[in-house]
Amino acid sequence: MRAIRIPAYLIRALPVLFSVNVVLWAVFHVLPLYMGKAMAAAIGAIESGDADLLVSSLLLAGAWLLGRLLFFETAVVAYSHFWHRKILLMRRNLLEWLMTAPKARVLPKGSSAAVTTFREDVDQVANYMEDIVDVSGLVIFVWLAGGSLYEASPRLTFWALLPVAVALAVTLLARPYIRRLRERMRTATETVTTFIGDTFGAVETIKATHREAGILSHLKQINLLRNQAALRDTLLSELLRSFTRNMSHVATGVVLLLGANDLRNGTLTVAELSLFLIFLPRVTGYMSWFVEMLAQYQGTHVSFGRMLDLTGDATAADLLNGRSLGFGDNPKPAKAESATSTASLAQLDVRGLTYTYAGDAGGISDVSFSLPRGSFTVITGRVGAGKSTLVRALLGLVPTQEGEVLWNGQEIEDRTTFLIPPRSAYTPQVPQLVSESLRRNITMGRPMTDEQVNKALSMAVMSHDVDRMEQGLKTKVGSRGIRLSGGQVQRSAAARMFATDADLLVFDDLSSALDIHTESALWERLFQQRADVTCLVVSHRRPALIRADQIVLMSEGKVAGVGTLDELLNDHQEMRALWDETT
Amino acid sequence: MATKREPLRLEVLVPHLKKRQGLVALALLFILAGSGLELWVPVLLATFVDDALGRQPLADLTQLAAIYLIASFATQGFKAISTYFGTRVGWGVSNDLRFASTEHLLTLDTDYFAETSQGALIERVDGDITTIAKVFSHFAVQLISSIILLVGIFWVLFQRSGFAGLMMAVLVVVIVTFMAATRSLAVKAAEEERGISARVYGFIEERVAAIDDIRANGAGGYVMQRFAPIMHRYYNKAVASWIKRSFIWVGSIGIFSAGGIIAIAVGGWLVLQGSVTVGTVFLMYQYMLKLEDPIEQVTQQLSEFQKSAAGLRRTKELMETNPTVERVGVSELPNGALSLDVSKVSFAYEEDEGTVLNNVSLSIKAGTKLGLLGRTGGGKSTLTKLIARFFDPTQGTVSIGGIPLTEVSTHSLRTKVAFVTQDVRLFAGTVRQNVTIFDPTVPDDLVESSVRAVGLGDWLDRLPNGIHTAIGVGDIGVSSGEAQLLAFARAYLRDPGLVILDEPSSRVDPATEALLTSAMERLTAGRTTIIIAHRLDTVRSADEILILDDGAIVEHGNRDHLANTDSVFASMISAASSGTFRQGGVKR
Repeated sequence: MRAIRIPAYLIRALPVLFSVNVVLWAVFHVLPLYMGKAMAAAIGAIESGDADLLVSSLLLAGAWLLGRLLFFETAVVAYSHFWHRKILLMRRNLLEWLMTAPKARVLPKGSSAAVTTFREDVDQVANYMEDIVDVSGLVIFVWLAGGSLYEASPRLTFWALLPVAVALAVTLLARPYIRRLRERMRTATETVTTFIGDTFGAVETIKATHREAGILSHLKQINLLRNQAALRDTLLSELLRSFTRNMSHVATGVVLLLGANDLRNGTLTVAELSLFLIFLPRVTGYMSWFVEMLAQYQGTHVSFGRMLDLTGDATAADLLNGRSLGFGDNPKPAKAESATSTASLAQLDVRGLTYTYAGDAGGISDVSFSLPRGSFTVITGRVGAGKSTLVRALLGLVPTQEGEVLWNGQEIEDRTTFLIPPRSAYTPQVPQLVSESLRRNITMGRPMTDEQVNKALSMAVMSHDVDRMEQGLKTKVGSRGIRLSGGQVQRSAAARMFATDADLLVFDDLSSALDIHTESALWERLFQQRADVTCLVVSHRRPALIRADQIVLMSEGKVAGVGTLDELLNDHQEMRALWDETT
Repeated sequence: MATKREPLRLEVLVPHLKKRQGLVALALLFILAGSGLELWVPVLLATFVDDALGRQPLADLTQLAAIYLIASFATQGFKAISTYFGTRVGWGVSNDLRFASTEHLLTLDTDYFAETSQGALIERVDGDITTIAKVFSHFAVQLISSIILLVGIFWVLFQRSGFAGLMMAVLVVVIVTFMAATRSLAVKAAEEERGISARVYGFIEERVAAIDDIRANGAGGYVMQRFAPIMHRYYNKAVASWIKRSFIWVGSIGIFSAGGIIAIAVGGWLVLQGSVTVGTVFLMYQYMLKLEDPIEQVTQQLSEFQKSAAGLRRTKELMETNPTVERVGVSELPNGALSLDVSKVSFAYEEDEGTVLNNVSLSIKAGTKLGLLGRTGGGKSTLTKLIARFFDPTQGTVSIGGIPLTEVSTHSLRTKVAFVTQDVRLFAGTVRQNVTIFDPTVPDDLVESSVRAVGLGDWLDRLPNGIHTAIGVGDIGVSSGEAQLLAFARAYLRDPGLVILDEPSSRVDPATEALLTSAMERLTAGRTTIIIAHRLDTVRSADEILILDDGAIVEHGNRDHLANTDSVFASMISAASSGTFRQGGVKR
């Protein structure tokens, strides 16, 4: 996808705002032509001593100016709507794709870097659209102003603009180098931003280990690298800028050099010379603006590429679609997606599931097993055996290379959007809450009564904790749930899962932050209340293993064995090793 | 441009600028030289026009035109150089600020970070401060040269005609008054816009971090629904802010364009009076033009400047946020194992919230291994956080090695008391950087031996560059079990007298757990240890057991004694070994 097609999509998304802006800005850019002509006439009148012409020309120039200012104010209002709509559209579309589009989604560089794309790359694309809005007005101005100059003196116009064209060609050649510098600068910025984000995420660890000094010295170091990158970038672009800015002076100098004799003998009038002096700065300025726009095009291409990379598989049309931002709508009752066909689970089959990380030995290969309705299946194995990867692959959270998952014997086309409530719900190994109330974190927008929420909390053995919270369900959990303890975050996530009433519950190591009694209570309540629920549990604890109808033993990304605890203990040394070390 | 009211907190910058006096002086020198030449070039043009109209020899005219060309080249060169030095100052200062605010933030309570999202913090420490850098690299240079130009233009014109000089002076006053009047006008609008944009990014960052939770539980639509009002608020504020600021732009365009017309009008009138030459009209017009360019740039960057004023204010506010834990201690903890005394300690996170710990007292001797048990939420984590002094108790005192924590220096406390937190966070960086947390002074072999000691030897051998392999980008390539072990290696590097392990066994499978247990025994040998554990196995080697529930001590005593009497601990052992479940927690 070339960046050249971006404008077409955005125009289609915001046709009215775009057209209004193009017209307003074109008028704004062209008006100085008439103002300039009136001013040149005024200077001519001064030289010839024509006081009446001087006054009338100046009044005309003033009128043009007033009109231009009115246009400007209108155009700014129009543009501010256009600008903010387009950046919000792009941000909305990006977030929406990440949150709701089918298929697995893996963030290429983590969540902090993703925010950089949301912020800077979107702005870059929006800036490019700003150029598109301006370009027609500027082209018309250059065309008309060039025409007036040509009328005054074809020879001077040609020789004045020739060095400008040459200089622009030179800056075009320097472009790839500038781009490399810019890219280096961006990477350096991203390193700093990511590091700052990581640091604030790990404040507790840093303070506990008293490594503030190390953190700060590393920050100093990457700051310095970014500084150097920024300086190189600035130096070169400033030199080029002064070079292009100087072009109007070169052009004026050429006019003076070649026009000296004409001026002396009257072939070139003072009014005509003024026309050159008034128009040359603008004409050369706009010409270098066109070159700058080409450079922006490259940057836009890179930025848009990064936006597409972040989504994984979205197309330009997806990211630039102009669906309403929903400002005017009344807040609708919360809608959580739920599966349309509600054929409840009879059997889930996993066949030959394979997923390998790019550039890493980890992953899973050729994993198969089945879950009958109402069964309790435990996935166990050592660290790095692929347990979490397996459930993530099964749920369609990472892109599998091979294999399929069957729901009641039928292959699931897109697991990511199929395995959601009320079919399936999931608690990740490290659950993430968001800075909203506890209630909102649990309901995730599902319409639920307090009673239902409390029931889910009770199943998750969380009621006691909530009772002790001053604000109860309204407690703000803080950024990423930091105000809750690790166990409370785990149990809130479990409550969130129970609240969905899904057929299949997937627990990734839910027990890790729970003590043995809390865990016991949790299983006990779950089986009391939902006898027919199907559970897939990553665990290595005896209570879970004992309860399991079947155990999937993973080793180095492969299934080492599937069976009951006794069968596996009989047949597998690996299982015995794991079992011996558990309580 | 004196600070009239007070939105511009320049005092934040002063010490950082003083550090760079030389660069500042160089930047100023080139600004001065560039502006001087810039004043001279239009004079050359005026002379040229007058000479041409006066039929002077062609050779003289050609010479003037050539000088004109060279002088204008030199002007631009000097400008580029001064911008370069300005950029160096700007980046230097902003790096200092970024460093200082990060340094300061690291002294704040962990609670502060609970209330501020990561995205918003990045916006504070990077976004705001980058804006400050931009202001210095471009705006400051432009502003200073504009002022020099304004004064110089007034002076040159005054020599040709008192009236022309007066006209310029009036224009200068109008421009300066206008800019001073409007400068702070839009600061507030810009600040609001930026505040709400930080909210937008904070929202996005959190949701993106929780992507799996959201998708697998079908909450994507809900997220988008919550996003809509945030976008709407941002849109309204941002549009209003632009429109407020547009009055400044329209004003400056108006003033300069009108200035050109006025220059020609006044010049024309003076020529018709016979007091100045036609060349002087060109001079006046060119001077107006000369002003327009830099000042148009200034107004363009005025919005950046306004953002930076807001940024500076927020930076200052940030620097004035104080930790609630006051670090006044100077005492050093002794070497070797440390005793612990907790005396009548109560704690609540907020004044108006319920207490998490209630009048807890305990005393353990140096070298004791204490197993901390109890239901989640019972106050175990809070107690250890008070011992590590993340917070100060609401009532009561905690002493380590006989010294109250309020008297112990932070450095001594943090190096003598090791704390393995529940929540393991990795950095985008190498294994080494993650284990030492970017401390370059720790020798490589010590890092490597720590990593091996916690049982990650095989894992390390599989990495292409050993401890210098980059890990942690999106946590790819590190399972959370491995992350847990890495966190353990971090504690290994210290030589603490008191070790607090908050749920060290979480997310580690039994096989790895065995490795960790042996490593743990080596780490805790000869040291006082507090282990929060949910698995009874973890406290097998403990000397004493403490059971907390509802913020109070349920049981505290010798492990073997408790195990062999009718105690809560004994009942936990029997429940666990039989594999049966007990409803509820320890109290029910």
